[in-house]
Amino acid sequence: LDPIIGFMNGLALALDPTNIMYLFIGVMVGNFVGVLPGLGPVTGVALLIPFTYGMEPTSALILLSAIYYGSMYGNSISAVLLNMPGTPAAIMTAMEGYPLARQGRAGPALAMAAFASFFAGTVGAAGLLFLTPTLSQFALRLGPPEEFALFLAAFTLVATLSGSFVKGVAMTTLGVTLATIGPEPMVAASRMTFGSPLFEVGLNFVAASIGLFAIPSAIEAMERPTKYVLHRASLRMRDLLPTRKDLRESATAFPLGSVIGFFGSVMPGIGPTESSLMAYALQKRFSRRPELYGKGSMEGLTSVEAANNASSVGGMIPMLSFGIPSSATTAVLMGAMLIHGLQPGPMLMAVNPNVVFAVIASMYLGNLMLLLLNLPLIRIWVACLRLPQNLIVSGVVVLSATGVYAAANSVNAVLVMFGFGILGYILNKLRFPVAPIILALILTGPLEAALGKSLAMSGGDWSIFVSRPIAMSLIALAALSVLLQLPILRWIRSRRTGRASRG
Amino acid sequence: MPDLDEEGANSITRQQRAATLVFGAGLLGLGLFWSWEATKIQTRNTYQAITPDFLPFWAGLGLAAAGFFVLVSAWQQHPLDEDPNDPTFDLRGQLRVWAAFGALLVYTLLLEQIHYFFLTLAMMAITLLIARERLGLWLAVKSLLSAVLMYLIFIRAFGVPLPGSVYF
Repeated sequence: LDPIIGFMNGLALALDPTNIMYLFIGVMVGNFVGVLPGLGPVTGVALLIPFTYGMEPTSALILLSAIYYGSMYGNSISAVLLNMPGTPAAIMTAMEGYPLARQGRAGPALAMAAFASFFAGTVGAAGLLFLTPTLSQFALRLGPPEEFALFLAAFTLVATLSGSFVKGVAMTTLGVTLATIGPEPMVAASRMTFGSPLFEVGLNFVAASIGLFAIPSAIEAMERPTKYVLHRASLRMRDLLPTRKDLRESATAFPLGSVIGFFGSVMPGIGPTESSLMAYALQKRFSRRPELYGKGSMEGLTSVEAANNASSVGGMIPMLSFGIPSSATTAVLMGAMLIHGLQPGPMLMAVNPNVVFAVIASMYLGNLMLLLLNLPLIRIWVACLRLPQNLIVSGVVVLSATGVYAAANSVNAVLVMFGFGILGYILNKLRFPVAPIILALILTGPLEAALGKSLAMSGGDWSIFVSRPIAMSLIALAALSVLLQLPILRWIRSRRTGRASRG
Repeated sequence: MPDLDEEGANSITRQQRAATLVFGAGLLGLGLFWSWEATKIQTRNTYQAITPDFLPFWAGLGLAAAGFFVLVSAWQQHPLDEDPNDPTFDLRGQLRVWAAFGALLVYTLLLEQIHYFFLTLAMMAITLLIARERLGLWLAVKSLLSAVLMYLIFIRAFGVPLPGSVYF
């Protein structure tokens, strides 16, 4: 399908009054969860899934995607005014934005963040529009062995790029283990249920994602409330506008941040956080005024905001084209798609192209909406920062439990959420990455199915994975990503570096 | 022997190290238990290339190995002293955490037994108290408003079948 024609069809669908309403709700809710410290896009998307059950799949996806990129806009507000990044992706925004706020330049910093987000979101949507159909067509040619190798590569990349190699691998394995509860994908035979009806249909994905993300953030805020001081800033419209100098100095940051954010997030395991760090480092290297970084650089702030917004859009590519989520939020989005009867991956473009194009078109409209509404409504967002924190966290706990009950119509699902809530809390305390678990929960079924089909094709001969070039390359990539992280290799490398520096 | 966890080296507190050791042992035990349980799965469909016990068995073994490496890497690390102003686990904080989890469990178990509005009202009041709201008028107002809002959203707007939906 021609992307332009597809886009026009998608635009017509996205402009439907109902979809426009959901888009508006999505960007507003996204902005709200982004503004509130402690809540992030993944919590926002997970919490809202139960509310989308009665909706058309297209409307649901438009709403949930809008929450994702909308929260990236909201994040910058708490980062600049409170020095409190709502998510790790906004750490650099806080590092540059808060000093700017202390210099009396909070308004221009927020405006530049909004412009950068709009620019990157629009560029990202264009990339998504042209790349998704091409990659989907390529993915359609892949057989089960290539699919298996692709899933395996996604697993290893996510495990090895999660910070700590040991912890990343442990959490991926834990996710795979837990995903074996319930029906087996090939013949749907029930297994590992321990005779409990709780596990008979497998682990409820919505319950698991709300348990892993929403419950721990609320409980942690109850344990130790976040203390912050709201930086007083003039938020009149005329004080929000950046100067020509700001725009001139940041001219390269818009495209550089957008390109790094977009292409970086195409690889599983690299999300908005990693992309924004890469963009920041690169922008600083090429900057004419690197001494300003860390003290309030408008250029640095613009680059980071462009990168994290482009990344939230670019992260959709592996999900829509290959059925592989690149981050925790896209994994939750993918779960939502499955609940709505949409199979993420190449078949989605073949069977439901209008859904994909409508979501892409809605991203243009959503980004425009955010730009037009964000700055005039800045006082409302700042007022949200004054909402009592204890009311929000208590509300999140009750909303999570009732939302999961509403989605599954069963107390068992709420008990699953409860279990994952405890697990998420412990993992956060011990600084284990949570994203690999959710990715494994969603990818293990397709991985096992692809493995079964591949071995059925080859009559049980495992060499099928190394006799086909694409499968072999992907397995080599997976092996390489693990080998490079092996402690013994790191140790040899560090000894060599140490010897070289001494010599 | 090389440090297994380069990222975590020298950035772990005493309490985190102890808890990670316990957690690693838990993963190791869970993995072995999983593999053992997987051997009990009936595999009647012999025509399948991989039987239903294949993945649970190997995933369990993998988890046991990962748990072992978590244990070793935590053991190798040199822990830092706890920050007295910001300890990883403090008694008051932990009491709040487990009180909140306890309240959530009770709320879940009673969800189909007690009228949704009253149960939510009580749950909001308890969680607000746990989250440091003072006992007083504001607590009542906040709980009541939240319960009304939740009731309107779930029972009225979404028609979730919970006890109480038919009463008002």
